Amino acid sequence: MAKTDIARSHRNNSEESDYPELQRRYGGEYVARRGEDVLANAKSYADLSRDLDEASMDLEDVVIEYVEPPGLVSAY
Amino acid sequence: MPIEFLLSRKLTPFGLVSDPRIPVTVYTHGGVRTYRFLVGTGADFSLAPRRLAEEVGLEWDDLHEGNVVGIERQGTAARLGRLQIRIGTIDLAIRCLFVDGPRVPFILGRADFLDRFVLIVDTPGDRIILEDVGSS
Repeated sequence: MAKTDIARSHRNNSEESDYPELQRRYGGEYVARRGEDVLANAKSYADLSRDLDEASMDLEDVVIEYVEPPGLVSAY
Repeated sequence: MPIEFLLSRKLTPFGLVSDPRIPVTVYTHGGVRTYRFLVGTGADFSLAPRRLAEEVGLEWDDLHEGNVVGIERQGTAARLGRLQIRIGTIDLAIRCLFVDGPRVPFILGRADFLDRFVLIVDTPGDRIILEDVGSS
């Protein structure tokens, strides 16, 4: 395998580093966050997306995701 | 050249488990957005909420209807569309099932995605590695 392209990697992002804490606070919701800062959250993706549109937020470096509830086991 | 991502962990009632999610760029009407998709090797096709289909310009009524089943086997209605995405610097179109319902996760399934990449989930090394092998 060729050498990993570290320059294009995401290993320096802190966004994945504290997912359990995100689960405790926002489990079962959709969030938009920049690094560890949650900018918006909603029960549905449609609501979250609408909120982001209405806020005319700069979405550069913002990551949107569904947060798994900590009390569930997934079998996708 | 391989692309590397940090492998996170998630909480379950039975302890922490690896949680292979990677950032995926999607070109929506509202601009470029980045989503964290679960790399779901058990999923036949990718999955996303209905709203995303509308945001990329797909007409809901024109999409092919289908049914997606999980462990409960009862199934959920879904519609199949093509989603243009970017992973790292690589653009590709994937077939994606869009579901109109609550708590729909963003999942990268095998179809089209794993036709394009070799996937390594290196749990001891806390990393996910994708190697582009091109389209077949």
